[in-house]
Amino acid sequence: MEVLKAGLFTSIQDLGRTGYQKYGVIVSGVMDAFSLRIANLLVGNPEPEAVMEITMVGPHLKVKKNTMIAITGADLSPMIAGERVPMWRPVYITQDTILQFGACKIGCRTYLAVAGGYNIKAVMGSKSTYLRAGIGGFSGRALSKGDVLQVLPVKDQQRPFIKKLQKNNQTKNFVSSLWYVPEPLGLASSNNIVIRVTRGNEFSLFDAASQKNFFEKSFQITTQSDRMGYRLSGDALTLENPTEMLSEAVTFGTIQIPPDGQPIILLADCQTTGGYPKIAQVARVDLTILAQSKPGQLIHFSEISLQEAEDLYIKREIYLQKIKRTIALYVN
Amino acid sequence: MIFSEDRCINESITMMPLGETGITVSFGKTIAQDIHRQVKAFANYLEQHPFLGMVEYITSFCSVTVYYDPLQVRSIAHKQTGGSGSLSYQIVAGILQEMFAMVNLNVENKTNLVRIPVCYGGEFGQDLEYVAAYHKLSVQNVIDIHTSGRYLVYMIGFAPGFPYVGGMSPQIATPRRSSPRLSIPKGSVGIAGTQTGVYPIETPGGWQLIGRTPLALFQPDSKIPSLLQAGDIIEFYSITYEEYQAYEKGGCS
Amino acid sequence: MFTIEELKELIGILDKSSLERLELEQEGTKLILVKGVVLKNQEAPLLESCQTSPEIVNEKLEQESEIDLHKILSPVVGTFYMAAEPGAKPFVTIGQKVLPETVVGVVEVMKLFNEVEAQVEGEVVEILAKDGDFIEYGQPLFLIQTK
Repeated sequence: MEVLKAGLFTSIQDLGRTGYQKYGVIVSGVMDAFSLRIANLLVGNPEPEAVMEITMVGPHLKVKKNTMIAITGADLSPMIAGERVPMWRPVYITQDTILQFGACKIGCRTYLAVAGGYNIKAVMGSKSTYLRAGIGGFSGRALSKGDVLQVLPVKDQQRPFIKKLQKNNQTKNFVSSLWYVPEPLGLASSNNIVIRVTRGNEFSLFDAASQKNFFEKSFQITTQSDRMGYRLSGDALTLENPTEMLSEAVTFGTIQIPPDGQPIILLADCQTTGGYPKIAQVARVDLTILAQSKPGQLIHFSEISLQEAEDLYIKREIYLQKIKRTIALYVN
Repeated sequence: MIFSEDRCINESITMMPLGETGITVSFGKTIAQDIHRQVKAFANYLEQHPFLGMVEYITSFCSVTVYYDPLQVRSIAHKQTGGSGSLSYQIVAGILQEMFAMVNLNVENKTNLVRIPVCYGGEFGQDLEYVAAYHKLSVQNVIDIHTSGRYLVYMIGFAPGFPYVGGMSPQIATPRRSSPRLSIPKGSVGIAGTQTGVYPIETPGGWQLIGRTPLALFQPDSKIPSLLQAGDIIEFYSITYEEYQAYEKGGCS
Repeated sequence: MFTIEELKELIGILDKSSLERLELEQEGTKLILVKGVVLKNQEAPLLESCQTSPEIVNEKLEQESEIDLHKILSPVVGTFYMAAEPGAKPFVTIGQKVLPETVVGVVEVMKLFNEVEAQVEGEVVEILAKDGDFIEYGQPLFLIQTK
């Protein structure tokens, strides 16, 4: 695959680099793990395989060899020769075809999985791009014009399905399956989003007004946001007594309150430890909603219990297992 | 919150969730060698005896945070106990509780001494003169004080391979720069307040830079990608500019 | 399109007011009336000189509606900048000719910069957003006059 236009920010990410946080190595990985896993299931890849994470304005890519792909996440109007490429299903593309993405109206990030996976060297067990350290992914950076990505050969069990799809392709430069995963993200075009959270370790250290405001007021995502974290603006949240905190572990979804009282939601590229009070933790399933939100949108936090958060997590895992089994029926 | 008591010292640990996939075991609230020793002992035990469903752990000044997969934890517990539908947080807390009861937290950990060569001042240590003037010391005084310390690595965080270090002499403790630099070269040795440390990768930062080391603190292609680990003791020693160049050319670490 | 009666009324209003300039937009037609335009060597009263303007203005508008005005919309939400860096020369100025690939501005979001291209060939007639403005997705940024 050749990058003709890079788009706003396109990088290679998988489910993250685990096992090395004790050495200060961040997890990184995709912002929307749900969309990544479905994309991989659709092309018959192992779930954690690396994909292209496309942000807000998509790339123009030249597919140089016959390839089967799947596109999930936000709708960035994927097109081939002026025709819309359907999302959430496997698509077979013939060689020398240009796949182009536009800009997104709803959502923020799109995922492009390729059958066989991208030929990217794993660093510390992961193909994710660690931008700050300049390692992993495609040369440790976002993709730029002229980059060429190799695709690994597909596994034997993937071949029969690809052949089936290929047979349906008469004259067009792409063909998609008739079946698809119904878009599970439920992205609304509304400017207001609700994020479910559990209370953080330092929630009780905040004064009564702040505790109340955290759940009652809305916070806007500022443009000073990126894969490391979303900086929000809204009513300042203050501690009952100013406290110097020692650095402790933080993770994707931790909501910190720095001295200026404006919340920061830590995301995929966050550091392994932090020294600001943690007011709440985003429920893992809602990291998907966060990954698909953009600067300008308003966030309203809703409290749930740890039990509810865990139940939601398990429910999603069960859904993914169901999808996997269903796809297997169509593919085999 | 779950409390437990150490048999010997009669201290308690507290456990708190970090979302539904993490649990933080806290041994205290201050930077202290005995708290650090307990943290290290517990972490070592986890390293040797990971439980099923555990993803990884990380240590900080006073706590150990364990990350786990709720689905795995619940399914394994389900198989073992016939399924009581327990919250995976509670299951993990229970496992860690048992470990805590078994671990000897007062064992003296074998410490690893790491000597770090530093070329002080000049282009490598642009703030060395400022630090000296701030304390009304000579530049050589500052170097002597910095190199005479034995520094305990409490934890690795902030950046890959970056050590949070204790034991720096207050004689050279200097506040951060009022305006941080946009980019600090890899290997820079600095002071910020009572902390000293080395930048393992190029990042923006507000530390007072006093020198640079040719050692690579972050080694992404090694099995253990960090030169330093929590519990190591660091000593800095001064090298000349020529020795620095030779070190870099020789490529030894 | 404004009728002669409407124009006469507008001129009357403008004349009686202390305003010097009146700009109106109605369904794609823009009308600009300027008071006190001094025609060389003429001492004609204001009203008369203004009376000559409506015909001229209308004619101009007719001409303009034959020419296409293309709006360049922002491809992302973010902060709009006219130049690559603060203090640098702006990408384009009013009157400048552009080609489809000409970069006319930049929108910054999440510390990433998105170059906005003209997408058409023509001349920049208006800049619709200010340097540093927060822009919504699809918000018009420039008006380009195409042939």
